[in-house]
Formats: sequence, C-alpha cells, structure tokens
Amino acid sequence: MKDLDVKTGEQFLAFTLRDEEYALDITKVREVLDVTTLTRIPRMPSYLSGVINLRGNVVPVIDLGLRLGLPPISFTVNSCIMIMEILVGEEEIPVLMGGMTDRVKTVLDIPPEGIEPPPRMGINISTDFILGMGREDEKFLIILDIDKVLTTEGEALLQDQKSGIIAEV
Amino acid sequence: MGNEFATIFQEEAQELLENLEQDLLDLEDAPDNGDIVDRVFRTMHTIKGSGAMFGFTEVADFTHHVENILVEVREGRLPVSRELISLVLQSRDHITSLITGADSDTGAGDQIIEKLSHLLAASDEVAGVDKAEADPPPSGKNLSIGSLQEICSAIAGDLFLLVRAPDDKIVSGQVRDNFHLLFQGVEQLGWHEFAELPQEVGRSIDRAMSQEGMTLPFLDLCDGARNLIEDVLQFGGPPEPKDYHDFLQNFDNEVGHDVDRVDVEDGKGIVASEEPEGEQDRIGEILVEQGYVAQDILADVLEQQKPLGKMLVDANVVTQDNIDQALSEQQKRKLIKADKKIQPAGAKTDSIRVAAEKLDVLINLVGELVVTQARLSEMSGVHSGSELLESIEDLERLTTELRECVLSVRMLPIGSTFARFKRLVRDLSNDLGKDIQLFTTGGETELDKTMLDLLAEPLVHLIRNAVDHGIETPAEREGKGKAPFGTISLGAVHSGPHVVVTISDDGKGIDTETLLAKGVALGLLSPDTDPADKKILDLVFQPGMSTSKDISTISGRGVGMDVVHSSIASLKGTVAVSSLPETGTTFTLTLPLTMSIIDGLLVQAATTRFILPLLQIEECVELSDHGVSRQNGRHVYQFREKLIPFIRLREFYSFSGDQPALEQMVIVRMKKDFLGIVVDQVIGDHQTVIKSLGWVYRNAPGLSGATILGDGRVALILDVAGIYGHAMSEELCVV
Repeated sequence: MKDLDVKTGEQFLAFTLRDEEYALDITKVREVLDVTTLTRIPRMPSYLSGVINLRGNVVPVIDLGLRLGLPPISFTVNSCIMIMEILVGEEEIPVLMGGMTDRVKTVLDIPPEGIEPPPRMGINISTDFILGMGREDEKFLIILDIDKVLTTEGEALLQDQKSGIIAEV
Repeated sequence: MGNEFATIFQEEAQELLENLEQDLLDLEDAPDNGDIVDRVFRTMHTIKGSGAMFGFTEVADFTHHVENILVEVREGRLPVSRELISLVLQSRDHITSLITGADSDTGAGDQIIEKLSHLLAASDEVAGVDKAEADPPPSGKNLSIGSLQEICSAIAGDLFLLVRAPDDKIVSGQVRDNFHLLFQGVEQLGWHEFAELPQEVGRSIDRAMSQEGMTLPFLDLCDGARNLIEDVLQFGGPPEPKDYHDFLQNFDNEVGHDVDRVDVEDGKGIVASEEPEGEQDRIGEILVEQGYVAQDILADVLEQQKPLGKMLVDANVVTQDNIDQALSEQQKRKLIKADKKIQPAGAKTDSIRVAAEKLDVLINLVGELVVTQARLSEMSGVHSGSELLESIEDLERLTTELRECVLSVRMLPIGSTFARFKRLVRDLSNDLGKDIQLFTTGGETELDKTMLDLLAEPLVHLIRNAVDHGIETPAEREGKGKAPFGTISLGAVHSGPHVVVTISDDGKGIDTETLLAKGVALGLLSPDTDPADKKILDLVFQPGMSTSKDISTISGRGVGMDVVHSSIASLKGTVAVSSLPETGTTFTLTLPLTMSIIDGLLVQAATTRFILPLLQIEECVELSDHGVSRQNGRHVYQFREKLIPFIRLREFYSFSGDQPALEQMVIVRMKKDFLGIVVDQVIGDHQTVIKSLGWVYRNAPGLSGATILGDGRVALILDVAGIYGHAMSEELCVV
C-alpha cells in the first residue's frame, strides 16, 4: 500500500489508462492500493469490477478504463486501485469507492492558470467527464471530474438496470 | 446563547412534546384526571420557560397563550372537551414546527391563538380577560416540588426576557406572581423560614415595578434567588438557614430594604458553609452588639435550633447513614451548581443521551471484532495447542457477550412508535366521522433503532388502511349489529429471534370475491380457485392491486400494500394477512430483532461465496435427479409430497464453469412459499456482520449486502425474496 501525503494547493494525482495520461484532484484520493482479491457482483454492468475488503469495509471498485469507454484495465504489477471519497445523492453522503487504473504515476502541482478547457475534438472520452486539460511541461493531461465519472452517469446506467427489476418496484 | 444550548433545548423540547402528545391523548380518555392536567401544564410551562431562556421567544410567546387556557382547565373552570384537546394538540404541533424551524408560518399560530381565545371566552367566568394583567396571583394549591421547579424555570425564562425588555410590566408581573407561587409552595412544604426568600423577592419586584423599574443588577439578584430556590428544591428538603440567609441579607441590602428578622446560626456545623456573599454581619451579632440581646441568650436560642438532619434522626424518620449520604450529595450538588443554568429543572440522570453515530461506530467496531475473532477461530484449527484454544474460546465467549450487549444498547421499546399512532388514529377517525379506539399491547417490546425507524412507515400505511377502509362508519356498524365504535389493536411480542407485530381491526374484512375476480382478470389466479384460498388474500400485496381504483374502493384494501410488503421485505421481515368478512382483518409482521449482525449459512456457487439468512432456511438437501422434473420449462423438485420450485445460483448469476456432480439445495421459506436455491457446496454456519455493498451496488439483483469472511474474502448476502421475485419474473421457476 502506498499512502499519499495529501497537501493543500493545486495538486493532482497523475495516472494512466491505456497509454493516455489522466489526473484527478488529489483531495479526493484517500489511498492507493495494489489490486487485491476482487469479488465480482453478478448481473451488474461490466465496468463495475466488484468489491474489495478494505480493512473490514466493503468498498466497490470501478474499472476506470471501461467506465470511460476504453478497453478494460489489464492486471499487471503496475495496476492499482485508487480509493476515493466522493459525495453521492442530494444529501451528499460521503462514500468510499475504488477506481482501477493501469498505473499511478505521481503527484503534480498544476496552478489554475496551467489548466485549459477541454478541447472539442481529439480525445476519446466524453467531455462531460473532463474538468480541463492540465499542462505538464510539454504534455497535456486530462483532468477528470471524478465525482461525475463515478456517480452521475453511473446512476443513469443503474436506473436502466433498475427498471428491469420487478420485485422492487 | 450558544448554538449548542439551542440544540439541547430543541432535543429536550421534542422529547417533552412527544410526552405531551401522549398525555393529551390520555387526558382525552380520562378527562377528570387532574394529574395529567398538571403534567400537561408543567410541560407547557417548561417549554415556555426554557424557550424564552434559549432565545426561542416565538415559542415562549405562543406557549404562553396555550398555558392560559390550561390554567382554566386546571382550576376546573373549563371542561376537557374533544375540541380543547384538538386545539392543544394543534398547538403542540405548532410549537414543534416553531422549534424545529420547519414552518415559519405565523398565520397558523395566530389562528390557533384565536381559537384558543374563543374557547377562553366561552368559559363563563373569565370571558375576555387578559390573564397576565388582571388575575390576582394564582393560588398555589397542591404545588409539588416538581411543579415548583417548573415555576423556577419559567422565572428563568421570564427574567431572560426582562433583561432585553425591562419595562415589560406583564412579564414582570408574571415573575412576581411566580415568586408568590413559590412562596406558597414552600410554605406548604413546611419550610416556613425559607419561604421568606421568595416572598421577599416577590415584594421587591412589586416595589421595583412601581418605583425604579427592573434594573439589570436587580434582575441579576432575582436570578440568584431563583437559582438558590432551585437548588433547594432539587435537594428536596428544607435548607439550612445559613445557606440562604447570607443571600437574603445581601438581597435586602442591595434593594435597600430593612430586615427585621432574627438570624439563626447553624451551630452544629455539619454542613460546610458556602462562601459568604458579602461581609455583612449577622443580625444576631448586630443585636448583641447593640445590646438588645445578650450573647448567652442568643447562644441558647441558637442551641435550640438543631440541624434538620439531627431532627429527622431524632424523629426516627431517617437513619444517620441516610443523612450522611444526603449531605455528601448536597455537597456534590453545590459543586456542580456552576453548571446549573444549562441543566433543565428536575433532570434525572439515570440515562445518558448518546449520538446515534457513536453507536453506529461502536457496532462497526464490534462487527470487525467478530470478523477478527472468526479468523482466529479458523486459525486455531491449524495451530492446535490447548492454551491457545482456551484463550480463543474465551475470546469467542466475550465477543458474543459484547456483541449482544452493544446490540441491546441500540434496542428501543416499540411503544414510542405506537404512541404516534394514537394521534394518527384519532385525527383520521375524526376526519372520517368514525369512532375508533386504538389499543396497544407489548409497547415495551424492544427492537433495533434502525428497524424501528424503518418500521414506522409501513405501520402508518397499515393503520391508515384499517381506519380508512377497514372500519365502517358508526351507522353502518350499528346496522350490522356491531358496537358503534371500531377497534384497532396494535400489538408487539417477542417470538424467538423475531418480533411479531400485529395490526387487527374489527371492520368489514377484505372482499375476497372482488379480489379473486381481479386476480383472475390479471391472470394471477386461475378462475377455479377456491374463494377460501389464502392465496387470494396475498394478492393485496401485488403492485397491480394497489393502483387499481375500483379494487381499493370496493374491497377497501390495497392502497400502498405493495409498499408495505417491499419495505418489510427490505427489513428482512415478512407480512401475512388474514381476514374474515364482517369480522375484521389482521396483518402480522414478523421482523428480525436486529439488522446489523445475523446468523447465516455460508454456501458457495462457482467461486463466489454467499450467505443465506439462517432464519429463512427450512432445510438443506442433496439435489438428486429423480426428484427433479420440469413444468413448462421451469425446474421443480419433489420434496416430501410437495413440488418446490428451485433455481440454480449458477444459472441465475450466469457463472461459467461446470456444475459439480452432486449439488446441494437449500430450501428457504418465504411466508407460505418454499423455494429451493441450488448451490455447489454448503459450507456451514457463519455469524454474519452485515455490510452495505456500497452505493453503486445498492440495486444489485438478489443481493442485500456483503460480509467479510475469516480469510478476508467478501461473501455476498442473498436477498431471498429478491431472488424469488427475479426468478418469477424471469420464469426460471414455477410459482
């Protein structure tokens, strides 16, 4: 387990999905784990990888690759699960969720002026999930709106799923 | 005033308001019960007093009006009528919304006040008189210590108001009258010496009102006096003169008023004296100084004055031990006096208030402990050693005890939930012109707090239905030869690991014929179903039934019944219904005691492990080929003369891989139906700490949660009813 020292400021955690570089607000991240035993939950969308035992708590894990419409994360020595705390629902209840990535790289300082609005073309994922493009030296990173990635659309998907459930209506 | 105090007030006021509701409903049943009237009055008074103190002036003002009318009731000038109770109940609701801030609509309050004053005007003797100004000081008959304490808190509230508006004659008058009441009350208690204090303060207020007005230092003194009286009342016995004479003297000096009373000295000194308030000499000493009284005569007189404790012991009323205890208690109370202002009058601390979240944390910790303990037990099988085994067994026992203890902390009597329904039934039946009595039994039955909270809603549905559709109007009932008033009984009882809650009415019962017709029309039943078949009644829980208007008007049942069914199912409980035409309907809810830790059966299908709630399991059998047959492409199994539908978890969850040669079937029971769940392997009993699957999986089909096994793996808890529902809709098995 690699604990991350969370500092205040414009800090982002950089990670890769396939070969593209992404980043997210580091204050959302609680810790980063190696991929452990995942228990799959049957009959759920494939981007929901299952649940893990995080020191006695059951935490759901999402395959960020599949979630963003990319190929699934392949399990290597580098793949890891970022445990994030996000707020869900109108009551904004904090919940823990894991996001699986191919590799977690580093913590970056990006000042607000280093972030640009997302381009209209040229990236494979929906701009709804993107907060902006961060410039790191000559490269650009896609800064994800992780709350949206993990909740908004997911909820819609789950609602589709729900309409098929007769016993609960 | 800090926010914190306001919160404390809100919490306490809500508790008071809940009791108030109960008292009012009781009062309606027993209008002559003076004790209840007193209690209602005291509650209102406390709310008014502390409301004012904590800045809820709107509450205080409004409550004041209600209190006025209650005075009339207490004095017997106004009879307890249904109208009055309704009005006070409405007032109670209004106060609740004022306190919670849920509703800032002052119009509602004004309306109630208007109605209240109508009622006041209707009572002959006091038509249109403003009580606060025109009444003589109320006579204090039968004032108990409790009610005197209430008066003290009312004074505190009023004084607080006066600090901001010192010229308010009405409030000043109230304070004066209240001190007068205290004087009378203390007199009645036989503490004649001490009674001088409130009397003196009352007089001074009177003088202050007519002369210099209520100055801040003066108000401070009044508050000091109140504080002292409150202390004395809490101690519950007449105080030692020394305890208050200093204060009284100081008070007199401050307000520039001569004293003409002989001071008495507590010669025995068994009570540690309080810090003197000032450097004043005692009257006795002054008299000696001035030569009016000789020193030895004074000493003689003082000698006759024994401490109270001594007198009581002499009179054989109490023992010396009792006195010693009381004295140390007195000492302790003096020490905590600094906190007195936050403490409500008469608060008894044999219970403590704990935030629910803290309990949740505790439950979680115990849950983890149970998991760890399970892991240890598992390991002990590998590393045998008698000493290790012994400690592990001890740990197991302790863990079980701790678990039970912590769970019991979260248990609350169901009576508090029942109490709410009394009001519901009363209001609903009034609206519908019906006469309905609600009887409750087993209110002391305890249930997990979470469970109680979630149970309230389905119960409301069931009771509404009983009132609305079950019970007939008085005219109809008489036509049928029934008693004109209908009866709804609400009962709770422990039955093994379950709590059984029943709701019965003696109304017209469910119209099974219409229900049958509807069931046939929807294709849920075959037309040749026996009208006495229980299956017909179970139709009320079908979603289709509830939305259909004609059913609910003709048969009178079904509104929200599917909601009841699903919310009880989500509590891992079951609902059953029985009904006889013209005799009544009974709903029986069977609920588990707790929802956080259950006994489960661990099974495995493919590589995934599942937990089945042990309570729902009927039997485990091997699935042998000769019992299996298919009906319309669905699996059924011949089990003891019965055909049971079954599903394979492997098929249900589309697990890959081959099923083993010998499969196990766990037969589970839901209400009256059986369902077989076929798994690869039955592993064994497991104490299951229920964890949520998390937000994204909250709708996972057929699953209600997860648990962590001894080896750290996650097992999924099966929701039997959910699987059954899915299986039915997917036609994997026959119904």
